[in-house]
Amino acid sequence: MIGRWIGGALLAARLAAGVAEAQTFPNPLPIENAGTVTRLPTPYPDNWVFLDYLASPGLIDSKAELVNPDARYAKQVIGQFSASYYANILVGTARPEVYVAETFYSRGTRGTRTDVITLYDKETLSPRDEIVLPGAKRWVGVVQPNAFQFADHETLGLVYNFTPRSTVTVVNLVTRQVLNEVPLPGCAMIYPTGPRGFSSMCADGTMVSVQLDKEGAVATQNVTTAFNDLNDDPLFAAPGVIDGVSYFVSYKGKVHPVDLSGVAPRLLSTWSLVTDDEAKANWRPSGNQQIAGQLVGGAGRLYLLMQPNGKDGSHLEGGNQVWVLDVASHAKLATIMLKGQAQCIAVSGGEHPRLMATTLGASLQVYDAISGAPIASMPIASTGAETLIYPARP
Amino acid sequence: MSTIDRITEKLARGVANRTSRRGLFAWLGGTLAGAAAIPALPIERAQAAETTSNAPNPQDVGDASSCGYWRYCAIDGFLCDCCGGSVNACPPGTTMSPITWLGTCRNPTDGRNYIISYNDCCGKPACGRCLCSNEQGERPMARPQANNETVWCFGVPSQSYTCSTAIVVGVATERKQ
Repeated sequence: MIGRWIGGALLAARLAAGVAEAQTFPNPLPIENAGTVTRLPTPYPDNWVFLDYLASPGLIDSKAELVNPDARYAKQVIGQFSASYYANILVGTARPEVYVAETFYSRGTRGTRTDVITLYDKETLSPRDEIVLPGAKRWVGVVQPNAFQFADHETLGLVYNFTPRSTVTVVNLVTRQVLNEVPLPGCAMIYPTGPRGFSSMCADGTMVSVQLDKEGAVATQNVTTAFNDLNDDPLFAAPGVIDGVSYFVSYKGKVHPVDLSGVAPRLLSTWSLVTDDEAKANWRPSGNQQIAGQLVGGAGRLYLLMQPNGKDGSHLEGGNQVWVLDVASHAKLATIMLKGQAQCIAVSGGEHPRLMATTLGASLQVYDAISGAPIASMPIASTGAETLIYPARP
Repeated sequence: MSTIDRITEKLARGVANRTSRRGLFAWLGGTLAGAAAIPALPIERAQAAETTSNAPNPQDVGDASSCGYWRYCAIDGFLCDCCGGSVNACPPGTTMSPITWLGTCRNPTDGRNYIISYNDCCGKPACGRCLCSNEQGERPMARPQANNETVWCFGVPSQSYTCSTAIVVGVATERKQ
């Protein structure tokens, strides 16, 4: 009874206060227009980032999101678009477009399969156009950056196919035309190379490289000596790229830089990112997107997601710390401790580079890539295990 | 078989024969990676799986619904045993892919290493139960037959991944040097 009396008194006081507040605002709120849809500024601010989900909410209706990795926007998504069935995305800078290589079945999980590159308008995040990929042969698997790449200053889109015959479909993204399908016997993935070409990693440990003519046909071809030890210490599929050099890292921490700026790949000197003591403790790179390369203040930096006590089979688990290495001196400059175990990392460009990591706890962790200071932590729509990060400014 | 396929097969067989892991693994790898159109052994195994007995076998001990079961040393996906199938059978309404990725797992009960074929079951939505990510011996797509990041649904009506089986297809033998 006393409680009810107190509750009534509080309600009366609150109503009285409300009347008092209303008297200080003589005018009502303005009438608002319905039907407004947000448009985005282009080019995007340097710090915006895309998240490419493997399965959010599901494999066949998954998506990518655009977020601002700043603490003030930790609860918000800027926008999103569909990225169906193991889709890989490419963020354009030459044109205000985002490209999604994706797959659909006419009846959801069955029916006729159609592979397309969907071209999204960066300002509206609406589909602008699509290019149907013939043959329904796009490689589908856990999202990987090097299954879909640009060439020739974003004029060409290259799609890796696996049926299990390996090929690459060459698409002109400007004219929206499929140009050619390049056979890739015994090789996999796409690493942009030279003025108008790409390289691929091959089963015999070599790298094959082709340059394409204007019609997308193979004009020249080169093959390196074998350098990828697929038996005992294989290279992860995705490199960190700095100034035309792709830094591939092995399961056990050996760095293999390959200069891909010319017509033919040039193998550069290797080094180990772990000391002898660290190797004994089995410190190893690990994760789904375990390396990032970036120019920081004019200096090349590699960021490696690392785990201790690594072993056969632990190479995709990820880790909770990131090592920062200088590519010129090979020195380890810093260790950034993450809040939680991550499997994917990326580093944005610009004057204020950010290290970003998606964690198994379904969060995007953001750090100052120079000082290592934490900046933000924001929930994401799925586990970070297989959520790739693509800075809007690569 | 096209010229490209012949080149592919020759290259893949050469690579497989030069690999230094287990002899049978390398032989199977060459067969699978190169002969995309004629994967005779896996297709036979896929059909045979429908009639395999699931009676308890004291030589094959373990919980088929648990990631720790010895056959799952290189599995990456949903266990079909939790999805309406079993360790070697697909759930109702799905199709077992005849083309697969392979692992080499040690059976702790008899101490032997076995070649395990992880045939994916395809055509339904992803099962979503009993997700396992064991990656022993897993390799990048440059060696596709040991890559488990790929959706191994080939030669089936739909590539919609549902779950993965783990079928014994042979005993691994040490490669003769």
